[in-house]
Amino acid sequence: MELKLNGITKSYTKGKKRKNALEDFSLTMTEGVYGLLGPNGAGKSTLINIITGIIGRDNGSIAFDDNGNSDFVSHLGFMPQGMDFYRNFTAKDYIKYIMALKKFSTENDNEYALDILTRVNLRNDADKKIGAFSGGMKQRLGIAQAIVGNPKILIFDEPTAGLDAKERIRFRNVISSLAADKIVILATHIVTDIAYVAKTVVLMDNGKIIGTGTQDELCSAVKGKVWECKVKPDEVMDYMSKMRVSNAVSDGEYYTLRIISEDCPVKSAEQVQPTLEDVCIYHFGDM
Amino acid sequence: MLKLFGYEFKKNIFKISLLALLLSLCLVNLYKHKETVRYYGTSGYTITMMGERPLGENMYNHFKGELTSEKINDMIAYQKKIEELIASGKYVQTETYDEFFSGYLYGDRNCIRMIIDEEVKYAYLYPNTMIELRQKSDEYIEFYKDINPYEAKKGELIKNASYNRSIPVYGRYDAFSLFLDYEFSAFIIVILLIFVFSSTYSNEKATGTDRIIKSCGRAGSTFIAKQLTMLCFVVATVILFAIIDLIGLGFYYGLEFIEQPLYAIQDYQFTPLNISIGTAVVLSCLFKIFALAFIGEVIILISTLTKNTGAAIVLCFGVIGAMIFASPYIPEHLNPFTLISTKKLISDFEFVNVLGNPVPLYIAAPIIALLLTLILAAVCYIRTSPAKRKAKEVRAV
Repeated sequence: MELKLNGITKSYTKGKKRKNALEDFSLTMTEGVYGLLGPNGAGKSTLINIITGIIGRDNGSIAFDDNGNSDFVSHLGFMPQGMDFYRNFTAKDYIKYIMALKKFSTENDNEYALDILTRVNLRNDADKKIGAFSGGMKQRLGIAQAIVGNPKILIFDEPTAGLDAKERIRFRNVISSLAADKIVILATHIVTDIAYVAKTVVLMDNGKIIGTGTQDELCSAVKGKVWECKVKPDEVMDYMSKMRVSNAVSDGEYYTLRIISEDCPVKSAEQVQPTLEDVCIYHFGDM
Repeated sequence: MLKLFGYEFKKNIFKISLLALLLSLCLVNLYKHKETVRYYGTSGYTITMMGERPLGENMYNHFKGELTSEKINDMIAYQKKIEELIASGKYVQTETYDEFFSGYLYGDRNCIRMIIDEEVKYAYLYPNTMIELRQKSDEYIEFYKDINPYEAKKGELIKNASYNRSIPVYGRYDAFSLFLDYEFSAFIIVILLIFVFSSTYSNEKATGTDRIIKSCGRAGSTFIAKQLTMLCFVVATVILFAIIDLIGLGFYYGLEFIEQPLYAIQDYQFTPLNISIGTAVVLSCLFKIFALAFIGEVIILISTLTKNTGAAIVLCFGVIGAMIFASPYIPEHLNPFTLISTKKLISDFEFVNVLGNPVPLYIAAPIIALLLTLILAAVCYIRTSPAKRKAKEVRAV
């Protein structure tokens, strides 16, 4: 299975200026989780909107092939950013509504809807009105609706925004369980979401790919540029304003700073193993 | 498609709050009937020194139905008797109270005068009125045939419509007359439409469902389902409120003689339509459906402008209020709001000049309303459709 994005370009006119939201974006994806990482305005949502057909593109092509099957639309599951629901629907109603939208039916639609809700741990709430759901439950329902019809391509746009830690872990686990035979595209600016589940990370900025590869590959690119040093509390702000600090942890007396720098920032600094967060700070500065 | 239609109903209509609003507005409507009747009056009651007696009702019940010479002679004889009693100086006849004598002769005389001079005379002499109309039409045609062919054609249409008209029965049609001119229930339906459909697209945008619909490639089907839902709601509420109005007004005036011709109602003596009152009631519902479907489309279009349902409701009230306010300044045939009042459309010979041909207002106005509705629907479709997928590019490697 392969989803090939080739030379996607999209620009907007704002006032008299023309801004490129995506510029010659090319990427080939196979089964697994693809994490789109980038700051706000990097072009992640634009890319997703183009793949899902919500907006048009100025140039480029999208090609899908699954053993000769090129039907793209019926193999798409999508969870948009900031998703909400009809408060007077029950969870089961909503899944059945999505089934109707996707023209997907089974011999027993009720049972299928319950099966889908079971996969996101919402079976016991299937007949509750969505208006009574918590943020986490809604998010899981969002995932559930995306997997209706067992789509080959799953797209999640900022899926963990506003979730607590427990719900985020639950979300990541669900995504991992789905990814074996699907292309999962996960767009977020929360690095840890991607760090745990993504097979390939795509770094985007200003509508372009600025880096792509596995986490190890991306991390190795900044190897030797991540440092740790201990500083006094009154020096922390000074370091933060002058250098790219990816983390600051206090042990009471001192702060341990994680600094991204081409050269050794202070004598006492030691090189450490880079993480995906460091990679992001290296490329984007503050996200 | 049918399933989507069902879900659109569920999204917008199957809500307890809507049911509560509907019930409350039905009660308000029934109260309005009472007030309308109070304003319009229940003709035929005579106040006597002995209290209120339904003398007019008794007379009406006695004389109503097929108009025969015998019945007319009876009426005239009765009127003569009362006039004689009054002429004799016996202003109050206290000895006899029966179904025709209240004891207060002036009141009794007014009752019989109203029946004979206003109601029976109208029905009985209606064929003569039509003969006069034809004569006037002939003069009109003669005058205009060389100088203004359009006006001459109008005269022809008026003349042709006036043939074979007669009112064979004597009856009262107050309930139908009020029904055909009753606009309050349409106003209620407009409120319901705003409440129900201002969230059609705004809610979808707010929940992100619009993006899911577009990603499934079902924006077109969903659009049609929404249109059908709105149309079904309009049809259902128009029928519901027509039934409530007929029952409500019929409660005060009765619903007899629905099979009689429309021109049996005095306000409709020059109606261009040779149809029964019952058909006019159905036609009135159809006109309202056209008008309210247009308003529904305006509301749906407004709902595409924002993701904030509250703002959409305010906008809807503002826009529709402005349209109502502007109504008097818009030609009737171009204004869908005209269709809410059936009386304006079919009580008189009103024509619209279409390429030199007179088209009756009751035909032109619904067609124009339909066209405007379709234009709005097209705009709505364009606004809610996703960018066209380059299908070949997407699907072929």
